[in-house]
Order: sequence, then structure tokens, then C-alpha cells
Amino acid sequence: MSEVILKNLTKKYGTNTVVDNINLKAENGKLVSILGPSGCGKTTTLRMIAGFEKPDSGEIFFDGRTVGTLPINKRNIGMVFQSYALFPHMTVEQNVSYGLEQRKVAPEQIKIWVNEALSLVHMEEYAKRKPKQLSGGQQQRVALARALVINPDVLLLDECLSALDKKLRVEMQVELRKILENTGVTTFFVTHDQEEAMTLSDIIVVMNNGKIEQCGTPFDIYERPATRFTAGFLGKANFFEGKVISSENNLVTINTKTGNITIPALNAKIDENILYIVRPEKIRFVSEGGIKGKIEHVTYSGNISLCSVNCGSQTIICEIQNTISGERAKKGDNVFIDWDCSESVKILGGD
Amino acid sequence: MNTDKRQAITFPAIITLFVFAVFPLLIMLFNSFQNDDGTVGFTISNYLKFFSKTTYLKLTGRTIFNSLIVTIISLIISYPLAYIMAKKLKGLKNIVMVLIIIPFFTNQLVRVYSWLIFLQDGGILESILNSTGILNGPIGILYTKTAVIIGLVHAFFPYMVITIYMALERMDNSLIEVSASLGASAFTTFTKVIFPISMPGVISGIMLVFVPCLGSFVEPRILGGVNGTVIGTVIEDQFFEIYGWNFGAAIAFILLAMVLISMAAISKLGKRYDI
Repeated sequence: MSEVILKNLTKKYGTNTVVDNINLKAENGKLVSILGPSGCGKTTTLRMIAGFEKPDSGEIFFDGRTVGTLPINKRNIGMVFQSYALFPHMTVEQNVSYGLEQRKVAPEQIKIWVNEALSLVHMEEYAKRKPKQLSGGQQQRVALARALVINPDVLLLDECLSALDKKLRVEMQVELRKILENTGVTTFFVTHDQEEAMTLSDIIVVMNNGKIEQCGTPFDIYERPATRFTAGFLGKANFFEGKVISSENNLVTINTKTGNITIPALNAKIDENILYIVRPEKIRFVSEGGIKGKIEHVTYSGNISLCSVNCGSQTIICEIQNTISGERAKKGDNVFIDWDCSESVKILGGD
Repeated sequence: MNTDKRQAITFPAIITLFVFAVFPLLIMLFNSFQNDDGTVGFTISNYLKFFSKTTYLKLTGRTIFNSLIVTIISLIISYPLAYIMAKKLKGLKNIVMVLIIIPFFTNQLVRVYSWLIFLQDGGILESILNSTGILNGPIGILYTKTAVIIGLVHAFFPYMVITIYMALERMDNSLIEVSASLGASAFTTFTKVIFPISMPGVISGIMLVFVPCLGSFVEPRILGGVNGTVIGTVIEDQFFEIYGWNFGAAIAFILLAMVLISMAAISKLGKRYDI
């Protein structure tokens, strides 16, 4: 395990810059998720850390040593692929011992470590099986054991849960978190699934178009998004963008493209170009005051309902908890909506 | 559709197969147990004749040896070619594939006579070698075993390329990457991961080259001349030169037995690499 630093890392394919001058630091033992839509450069970043791709410029450090010139097989990384990439002609046991054999570990020691690794992922009974005799989840565990058994400096996981069905994926998330906490290895986890990133990570790195949009704890990323992209990519969000006309009593009036709207918010200066982001679940219905609107659409999904409220100049999405006493929102209802002014996240100058 | 109807569709194929393959084979089998004097009866003298003469046994040995050499050379040529096609080439792949398949679509005699013209004394190869100073004088390669082997390799190696290519193409590239990430050198990755996984392709390739080589007679005859005598040419002679059909049939069945035995052996080898 070690601290990983990416410094000014850039990768181009022809004229297309896939990874654009990114800087990133993963502290020892932390789980860092690289999150972004497909084509954002997250997998390329991971592959550069692994050594499968050569950066055009920039450096990668493991614990202060640069690894840029090290070939893949000397980097001491553990990698789990989306397809798991288990060797089909070897048993589970042979798969897991492969990395140790390359390190010329004594056979008796290999046996001990392989057993430890397999018991870590609860696959001891399957040691003699071939990969094709295992389910997706089981193959996943073996791939993880194979990557961990070599005691890597860095563990790299490439969308490794996305091939599993939803229920199994959620189970594996919890399990993976537990296993990684036990081993304490610095881990990079590439995913396009925001929920997965939230559940698993210490740090989330949001990438878009080869650049890092934001880097922070799941809480920071969700509650205090730094850009429109981050807010839109992780969860749902309402955007209020335009020039500030007035700001008093924690109420800010913004001149948006579709008209003026007054919302609860803090710290606005007159004439400033501004973007406020409000999460739908922060919004509540009130009996009076707040913003007046009409419910245009209700999507019921059990514990919550998602309401689109037309407030004249803009439609605001609200998430309402379906509590026992809570009155059900109906299409066509005239409502007042309000939220705490501190929940409006301010981004200067829009994007 | 019920099973009976489904089976009914296979009748034309079964009948064709019976009339044009099984029935002639049965006639041949019958012939191989007949005397040459025209009397009808049962004799194993044709088979005894084959096994009692060292010439024929030596010929069998030479046929097997030649086929082995052709198979090995084909493997050495085909594996790197298939690997480059499957893993390195992108757009060019199809063009290379077409170039490799062309011998398939060329008439066998045209192909063999092209080699004859190319290899003969005073031919193209000789003038190239002479003009570059590598060789001085006649080349003397035609009507040797080397010429036969060149002809056979050219005829059969595409099978090997295609089967190995398909096995490598199917293989997930991340297997190679994962092997490197676990600390394996490129050489270890090849011997421990790539080659074993491509083994089913190699085995089918061996089968598709070795087996037809055993029975080949056109290349040995035309390119090998007197030095090209193999079982295939002996059978041909029995049928078309000597009119010893009964003995010819017996040798043909001995060849068939060799083919079946080697196929069984190769596929048994393949079972070991079953993934």
C-alpha cells in the first residue's frame, strides 16, 4: 500500500486529448473512485496508473518514487477488470497463485497466502474449480483475491461490479468495502455508477472531458457540488442561473433566461452572474409563503414522490417523502414550496 | 416441428452421403479383400503384401515423417502470423486474411505447377538467387523432398492460420494485461497464458494440416518426382498405372486407418487443453 500522486498527467490519442493535465493525490489506504460518463478519460487514467498506457506528459508517483518508466510487470499493482479476466485454463487456486509464482515465492508459502486470500473473499471451497464453473459474483471474488494476494502497492478496479445484476452488485459493494478496509490497500475504482461511487469511496473524483471537475468526499461532492456538471451527474438537481437583481432577507431574485424567480439563498451580490443548485429532497411544501406553483407531474416511487412544480418562469423538481400523515401530492394542485436558504449552493458565473 | 419431420430433412443428405461416399468405400473395402486373378473369394493377401515388404513400410514412415515436417513448419509460420493478425493488425487484418486464403481458391494443379516453374532449374528462384550472388549455378531444388514440403506447406498452412487466428481472436486481451499486472514477463505470459489458451486452435490446425498431408499425392508427384514417392502416389500408381485395384484399395484402407488413428490421437491431446 502506498500514497499515489498523479502530476500533470496528460494522454492524447492523435489530436484528441483524453486525459487533460490532471493532478490527483490518493492518500495511503484510501479508496478513490474515478467517476464520470463514458469517454471522460477515467479508464485511460486508470490504465496509465497500471502502466498499460504511456502518458504523453506528466508523472505518476507511488510513495514518492516515480513509476513512469517501470514496465507493468514491475509496478506491483493489483488489477481487477470488468470482465474479471480469470485465466480460463487454470483453476481458482492456480489463478490466485499466478502472481506469487511470478514473484518466486516458495510453494509452501504460496499455499498459505492463497488460502488466506481465498478465505478473505469466502471462496475457499471453490479452490479446485475452473472459472467457467463459477457465477459472475464468484468470479469477481476470485479476481479480487488474485489481485490482493500479491500485496499490491495499489489496487485498480475497472468497473468491476458493473457486470453483476443489481442485487448482487449492492451486496458486493458492501463486501468489497469490508475487504478493502481489512487490507488497507490504496485503491482506485473506476465507475460510471454514482451510487456505487457514493457507497464505496473515501474520495470521489468526478471527471468530464478528460478533466477533473471536482474531487472530494462523497458528502462534499453531493452537498457542495463545485460545477453544474458534478451536480447534474450525481443525483438530481435544480439549477437557477442568471443575473442577480435583488438580494434581501435571504431571498435572491435572479433574472434567468425564462424570467425572474425569487429563491431562498445566501450571499448574492447585485448584478453578479450566478448559478444556484438546489437538491430536490431539500425542498418542502409549505402552507404559505415561499414560491407559488402548480404541480405538473408526479412520479410515485414508493418511499418518495417526485413532483415537477411549475413556478412560472421555471419548473422545479421536488422530492417529497411519503410519510403516513403526509398528504399525497396530486397533479394540478396549487402549492407553495420553500427550502432553507443555506441549501442553495452558489456557483459564481454559472459554469 | 416434431422429431420425425426434423429427421426427414436430413434424408437427402444421408442418401447423398451413402451413394457417393459410403457405397464407393464399401466397394473399395470389398476389392481390398479380393485376389488379383479375378476369382471371387476372401483373402488378406493384399494387406500381407503391404506389411511384408520393407519398401512399403519405409514409405509409410517417410509419409508420416513428411507430414510431421509440414505440420511443424506450418505451425512455425502460422502462429506468429495468426498472432499478429489477431492482436496487432486492425484494418489491415482483412487484407492479410484474403492473401492467406487465396491458395484455397486456386486450382491445385495451377498452384503446384506455379511452384514447378518457380523452383525448376533455370527458373525464377534460381535466377533471383544467381543475380543476387547468393547462389552460383543450378539450384537443383525441384524433384527433392524440400520441393514437396514447400508445396505442401503452401497448400495447407492457411488452415492452421485460420484455426489459430480464431482461437486468439476470441481470447480476451485483458488476460494478457492481467498477466503482466501480476508480474509476468512477456515470455511467461506467452507460455503460461496465451499459448495454452490458443491450444484448441493449434490442435485443430495440426489436425487439418497433418491428416490431409498423409494422403496427398499431387504435390509429391509433381514437385518430388522420383524422390516424392509417398503412400498417396503409390495408391495413385496402383489405380492408374499398374491397374492393381485390389492392392491399391488395401493401401487406401491402411492410409484411412492411419488417418483415423492420428485424428484420435490428436483429439485426445486436445482434450487435455479443453478449457
